[in-house]
Amino acid sequence: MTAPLSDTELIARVVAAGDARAFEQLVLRHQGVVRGFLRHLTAEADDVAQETFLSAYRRLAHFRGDSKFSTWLIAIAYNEMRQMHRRGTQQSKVVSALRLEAPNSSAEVPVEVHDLPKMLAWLPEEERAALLLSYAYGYSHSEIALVTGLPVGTVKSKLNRAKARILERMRMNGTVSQHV
Amino acid sequence: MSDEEALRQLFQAAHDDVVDDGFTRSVMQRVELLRRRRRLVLGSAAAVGAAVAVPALWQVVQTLAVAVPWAHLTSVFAFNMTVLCVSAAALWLLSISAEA
Repeated sequence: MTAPLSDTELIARVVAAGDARAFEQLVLRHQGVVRGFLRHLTAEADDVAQETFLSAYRRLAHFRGDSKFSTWLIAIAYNEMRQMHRRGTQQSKVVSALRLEAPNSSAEVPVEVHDLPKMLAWLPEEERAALLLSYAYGYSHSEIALVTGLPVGTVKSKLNRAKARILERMRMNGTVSQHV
Repeated sequence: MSDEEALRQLFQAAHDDVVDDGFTRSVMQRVELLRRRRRLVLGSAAAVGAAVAVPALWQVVQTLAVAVPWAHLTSVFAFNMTVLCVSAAALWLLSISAEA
């Protein structure tokens, strides 16, 4: 059995030979992360995700490998979403993106997880994205800066502000103690 | 529970991979459309290029044949070679666009 090809090898195949199957593998491998991320930020997540992969296909030759391929895709996704919002053709809505199985979820998942979409709804778009990338995806400050196009210092301050707001909401809900 | 722990717990379930429900197929259909459109544009560009180049080169050969009668045979040969080169270039462009 042969080992699956790495992202770099698949990209090389697409760029050199226009290998559609190699690109299909890349989409298959990364669609979950891209769509998962977008579902926390916009109601039109799948439309934006499609545009993201088409844009990635067009620009694949420009991918230099400075960052992980998934980070590059998330950056494209974030830009596509902002462009879509700027064009005003779509309404930005925070949706419940947590794919929790409704009947059994309350027994298995901590109660406060259900509140995440509501909590995030309180935040401006950039803070929401920064917080998600940091806590849900484990991105570093420089990776968040790469995705959002903001300077690292601004990312840090936005993260701090977002954390403070979320924690304030959590204290109001009683999910964290008042005197932490 | 510390603030950091509370936040990590809150976001723990947020990193959920979405199952492929036909999304990849939809993307690949659009990619195929994009490839076809590219092929059409490149093929058209090759055809237009050949349509412009051949008459112009024929004109040059005619002028050369009139101006330098002894070069007639040479110019016929040059014309044939030119047509061959232009056709090869057009075929090459078409083959590239077919792969793209």
